[in-house]
Amino acid sequence: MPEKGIINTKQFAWMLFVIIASIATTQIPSMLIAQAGKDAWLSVIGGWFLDVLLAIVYAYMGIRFPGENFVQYSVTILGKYLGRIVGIIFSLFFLLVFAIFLRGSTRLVSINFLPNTPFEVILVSNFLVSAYIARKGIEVIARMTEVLGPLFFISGLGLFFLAMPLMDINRLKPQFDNGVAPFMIGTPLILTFFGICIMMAMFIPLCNRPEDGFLAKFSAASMGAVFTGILTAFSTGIFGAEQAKNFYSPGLMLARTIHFGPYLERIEIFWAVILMAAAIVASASMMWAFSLGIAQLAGLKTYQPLVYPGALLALMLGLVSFPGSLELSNFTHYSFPVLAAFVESGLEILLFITALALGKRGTP
Amino acid sequence: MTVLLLAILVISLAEGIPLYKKGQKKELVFMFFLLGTAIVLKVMEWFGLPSPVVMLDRLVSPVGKAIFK
Repeated sequence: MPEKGIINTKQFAWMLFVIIASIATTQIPSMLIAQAGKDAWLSVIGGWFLDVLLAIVYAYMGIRFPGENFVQYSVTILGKYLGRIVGIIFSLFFLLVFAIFLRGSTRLVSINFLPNTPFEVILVSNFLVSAYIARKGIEVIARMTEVLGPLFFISGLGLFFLAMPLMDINRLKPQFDNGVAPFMIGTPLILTFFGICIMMAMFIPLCNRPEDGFLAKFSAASMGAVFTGILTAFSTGIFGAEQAKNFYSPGLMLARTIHFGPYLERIEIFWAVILMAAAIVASASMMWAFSLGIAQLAGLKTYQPLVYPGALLALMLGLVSFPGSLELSNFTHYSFPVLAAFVESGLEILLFITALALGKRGTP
Repeated sequence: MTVLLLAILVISLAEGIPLYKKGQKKELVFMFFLLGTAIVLKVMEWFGLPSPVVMLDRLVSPVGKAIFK
């Protein structure tokens, strides 16, 4: 197996939390508020519930095919040709997420903190750091998330605590003002971003206790949902749905509102540093999954030589496909959820049903 | 394009030489395949051809626009 690293359940959970929280707290809350308005925070609960249901399938498949990730059990279930096509789709999905997510995070830094620095310089730096981490392997990513995950979670809670006096609960009322339709549409939208944690299928075979896969995912999804839900509710409660939906990053705007006299000001930089660090590490795990998936499908001895070429390919894909932030926003809003739903739910459920119907199992 | 070629040269030397010395030809082929794909994307942009992601976007975005506002 190209990856020889082993992770424990705690690292597994923090890795998933960092992925969920960093992806779901950048521009997703504003997209969700645009979709579901005042009911956006309820959609987060709906998304969490469906994500946990999906996690049961992934965890079950991880146990049914011991020692295999979904790229590998695609081949076991569907055979050499069709299985490889499904495996490549999974790997390419991670490449796409890597490209769009790092590009979105870079835009955040460029607009808010480094407006005079060329965008490409920040972008290339982010890609390089992310690829460097990915090349070091799963254990390095796991150790980094063990530090970053709690820091991210605690800083988020601190942020919400400090922003609490500004919160106006009346801005969240009445619920279901426009019926249940906004909530029903917001739920699958947030699910597709929570669902990037299908990454758990890559982590299960490397976990020292694979049977804890569901527990890790449940803990991470719950913490991520609490984090995203509070952030969405606070953004709506402080700025109002009409204003919050136009922010690029409501979390950053929330951090900007906090100040206590002349003593505590501009704390958004701390939030941004933690957020960017988490975003880079989360992206590194995407690149790791892409390289490992391709290496396993091709039967390579190691995945490391594919990391930098993969990162360069993702960089080019991002630059060529999305010349401006408008194209990227449109893709993230309209196309990504459809593609993600197909890969995260459609393909996995296809594999699950096929495995049950054909009675396929892995070898212990 | 010059920057891209320079990046490819650096990656090829840094990753390719150790692979060549170890005789890992399959890894070498896949590494160059990914680097080659990056060049193809840039060339496609030169000729005004849409990238695979743009083609996918054109295919899928009508569905997304019908669901999400």
